[in-house]
Amino acid sequence: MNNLKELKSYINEGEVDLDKIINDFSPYIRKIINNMVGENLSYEDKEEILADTFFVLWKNQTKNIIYLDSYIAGITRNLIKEKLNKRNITYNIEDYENFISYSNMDMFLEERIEIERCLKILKRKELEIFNMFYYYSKSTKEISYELGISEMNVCTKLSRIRKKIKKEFSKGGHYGR
Amino acid sequence: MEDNNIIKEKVISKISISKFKEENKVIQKKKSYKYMKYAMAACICLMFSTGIVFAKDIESYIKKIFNNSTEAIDSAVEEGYVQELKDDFTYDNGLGIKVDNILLDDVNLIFSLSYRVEENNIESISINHFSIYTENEERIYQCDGTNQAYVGIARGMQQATLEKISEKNFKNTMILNLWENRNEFSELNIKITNLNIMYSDGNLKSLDGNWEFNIKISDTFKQSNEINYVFDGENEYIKSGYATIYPTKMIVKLELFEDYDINQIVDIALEDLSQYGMLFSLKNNERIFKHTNFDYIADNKELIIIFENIGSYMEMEDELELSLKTYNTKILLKRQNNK
Repeated sequence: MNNLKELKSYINEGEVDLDKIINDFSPYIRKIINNMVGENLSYEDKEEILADTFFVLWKNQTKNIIYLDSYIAGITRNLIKEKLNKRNITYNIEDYENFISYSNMDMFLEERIEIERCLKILKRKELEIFNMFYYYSKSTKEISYELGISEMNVCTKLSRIRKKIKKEFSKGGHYGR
Repeated sequence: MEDNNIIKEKVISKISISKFKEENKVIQKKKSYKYMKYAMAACICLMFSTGIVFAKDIESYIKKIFNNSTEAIDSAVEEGYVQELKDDFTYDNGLGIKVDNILLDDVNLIFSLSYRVEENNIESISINHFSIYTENEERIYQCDGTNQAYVGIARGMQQATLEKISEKNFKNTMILNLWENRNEFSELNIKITNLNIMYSDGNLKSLDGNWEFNIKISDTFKQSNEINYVFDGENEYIKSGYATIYPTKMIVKLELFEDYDINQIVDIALEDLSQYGMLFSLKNNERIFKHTNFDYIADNKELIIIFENIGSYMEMEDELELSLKTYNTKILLKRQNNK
């Protein structure tokens, strides 16, 4: 699979169409992961790689990516390598040598680690409100209406979530805690 | 492996945090006047488009909802245990009043009022005649011009010190102390018919009018957060006891052994009310001071101690120690159920 498939075909109103790209590429990424690691990584680790692949792709969405499937494969393989290193699992470098060109790819490692820390401390309901505001760009009024809570409640919850996240960001450190 | 929807949710969460991080970086880094002006404009746009109060000021905004409030009330408000009303002012005789926010639990009904006046040089406004009834015409509280108060579902009322927001805008908070185990209600009819207006030259005016508000109580208050504690162990003075922490208040009820005279406690307590009982949290063998009591009621063999500054939305440990000055004794209260 090295077809001419441009990233811009997945851009809708200036943002990556997550639904479309996840539906189109998840099977492909899962196949790469399973072929590369087999049973060496847990189910959770594999899902994390899958989610991080799309996140890294989103972070690079302004780049002019022409061979999207190769680009995505490169991200995935770099993430697998990262995860295997973290789990102290040895791997055959030859499996990755075709993708050396991606070794300079910005994987946003620091940021991903910070985000992981934040996700561990945020409750599901908190994430729901946070995503509605920051990803779906809904107003507090709209959020309050959809969730059936007061607008003030939405404001206070967002404030608390922001505080929690800022606290995690301020901890710093390469591999977090 | 997981459904694609779950993966999508994970990705969205990561993207949201990343977007927030970028937004926060922009706000923190740029301190030059030129960018501050831009940031302020961006925030103001955000405020108008989303209705959000600038997050940095949210805490002071919350604490200003009820002036002269307690830590218990502030904690409850921060957790969203408050109803915000967006009604317009009701005007009569040159003065407008509106009810801004309400907080209701089993022990307190609190509401904040805004006043808007046309005259200048007004220093303070206080309510003289008013009544509050439920939808079933059950009296909550009533006060008339002879300073006669009629209790009902509420057994007492406090008006906070009036806050002057600007030359023509004022704010106040009313706290009605409710009897526990009262009937539920879902609507309030508040009627104010007379106010005292004091001017900066010391003149006082009595203003009649009709300011009426019909308010439907939010369902938020149906999910009241209570924490229960029970007296654990033995004590030579205390037969049994329990404590309930409501969102806005903590009430401790102690039953004394029959040998002990409740009046003795009352007499001693009157000498030094504020130090009658002290509350500590016990955590990892440490005693963390919480608060002294604010009030007590002695009724037959039952002693009721009230902590106005302790609420169920505050962080409360599983074990509390109540120190009673009168008998120089301590009792242990253990948490019964989860928050």
